Amino acid sequence: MDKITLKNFRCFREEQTARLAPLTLLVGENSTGKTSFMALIRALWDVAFAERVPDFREPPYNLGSFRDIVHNRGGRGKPAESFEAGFEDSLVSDMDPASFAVTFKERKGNPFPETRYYEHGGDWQAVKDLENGKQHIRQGSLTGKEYPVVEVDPPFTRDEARLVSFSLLQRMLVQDSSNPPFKALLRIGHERPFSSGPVRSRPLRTYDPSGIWSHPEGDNIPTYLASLYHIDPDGWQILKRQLEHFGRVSGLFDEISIKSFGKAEGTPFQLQIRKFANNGRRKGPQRNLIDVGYGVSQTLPLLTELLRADAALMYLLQQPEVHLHPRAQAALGSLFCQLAGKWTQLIVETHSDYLIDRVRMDVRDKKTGLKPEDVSILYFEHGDLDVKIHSIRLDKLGNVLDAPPSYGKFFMEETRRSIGIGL
Amino acid sequence: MCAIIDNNVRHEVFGASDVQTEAGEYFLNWLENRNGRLVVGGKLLEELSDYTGFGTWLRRALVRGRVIRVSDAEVDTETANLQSRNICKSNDAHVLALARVSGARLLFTNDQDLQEDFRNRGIIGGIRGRVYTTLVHQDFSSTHRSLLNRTDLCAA
Repeated sequence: MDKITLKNFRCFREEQTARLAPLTLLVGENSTGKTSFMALIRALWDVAFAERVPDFREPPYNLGSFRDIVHNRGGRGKPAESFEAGFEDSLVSDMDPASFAVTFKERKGNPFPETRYYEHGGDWQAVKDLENGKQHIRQGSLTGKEYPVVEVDPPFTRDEARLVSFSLLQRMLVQDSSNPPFKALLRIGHERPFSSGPVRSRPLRTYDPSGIWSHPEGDNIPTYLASLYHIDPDGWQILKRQLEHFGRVSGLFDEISIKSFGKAEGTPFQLQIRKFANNGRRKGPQRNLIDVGYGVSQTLPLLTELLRADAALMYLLQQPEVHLHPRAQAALGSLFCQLAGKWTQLIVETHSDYLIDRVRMDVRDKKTGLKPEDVSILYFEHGDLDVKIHSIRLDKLGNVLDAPPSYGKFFMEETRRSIGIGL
Repeated sequence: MCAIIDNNVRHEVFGASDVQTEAGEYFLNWLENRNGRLVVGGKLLEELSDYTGFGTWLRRALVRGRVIRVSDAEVDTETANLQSRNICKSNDAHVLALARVSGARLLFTNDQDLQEDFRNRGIIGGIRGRVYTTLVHQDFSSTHRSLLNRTDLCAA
């Protein structure tokens, strides 16, 4: 996704556009809507690509019901009746970016994507899901041509979580020659964005294998690693090397291993960590994951999700730096620069200046292929009862451009005081 | 709007209260909280960095977009160019070169030769440079205020 627009959503009243890039950093004080913004991105993906009604309560987010989500300034003002959001996405097609917009209204207390609008390649389509179950469809081209309005009755039993898919509409309308071909919103690689919460699961001394499906707190990761160790030794070695490389540059660990209590997959196991001494000349003892610093066990799930062979296309990460020493926070910044690109989009909420500064420096020093335009810093600024999003850019010398005066004001004041200017 | 701070007034901006002037304090406030951006690069950056605490401030200001870092190599080349033309009255060709490379047209300095050079279009080119100085007034005067309110002193 290249751009997000939103209006009347949570603390965002006015229509705003935020620039997304392969690496997007969300910054700002607490309660300025950064997590809500990430929840919206996942919801938009669900509506546009999975054609399902998004669940704003699904972990790691919990935005509540429609009334909690729609903008409400309090006092005598009434809450808005709907909220709107959309995106532009150049990955839908290499030729033209596609844009998608949706209006959510309340249905049974929850947000329902009532109107969906899709524009691509000079054509547009709009679908409105009526309360009687029918679909009201309009189509046209950007040159001004508009086709007759069509109302269809989907020939299947409605699942309340599913939306009528654009591809189904395409099949239904194709026989009517008065309509243009109805294009489905297809994206290459169709994985849902991976969303992680700010807290990861607590480490255990011994694990019993459980499910390997993605989990926002990383509950699945120890089992995933053990499973890889048993059934794909080559894959395990590759991932192990990548994890250990990050472990070394971050100062977290030098070696990670699986201690299995049986030869078969499915037997209990332990995760072991080793930190070398004397520049690697002394290897030291292997320690159980639970016996080393919390930073290791809290970072391991995130690293594994980012580095696994079947990595997602988009990551929505909340405060990946929690529990980490500044050295490791900076190393995370470098890792993000290495991973972000055309096929991996990272959207990272962070309070870490070390992480942001490392990104700035790595882009300036061309440590990876990431260019200045591949980074967007979205600054969420408290306004009068609502929040404004500023899109901040980097230039090739690592300069931070378009930052409003309030950006980092607290940090500047603390720095001034710390070094005694004016004392 | 971007500005340059000469080494001879760094204490007035970044110093403790016994050396910081009111005009310097307002200048810093303009850099941190308003539309001001400090331009740094080349030899002047080395000179400023010697000052206690400036490095810490600079690092934070870079992350927060309050400082524009200019290529040292470009400033050095431009400095050599100015020196070879032998047109500067001051011995601060590196400051003038920084202005030429960055487009900054506001300079905080108390060096009178440098002030003259900075106002000389034949040296810095483009928009005429303006000087913020505390030679006459160390308090925050109306002249200081009007300089910080200008929005046209950036040739880039």
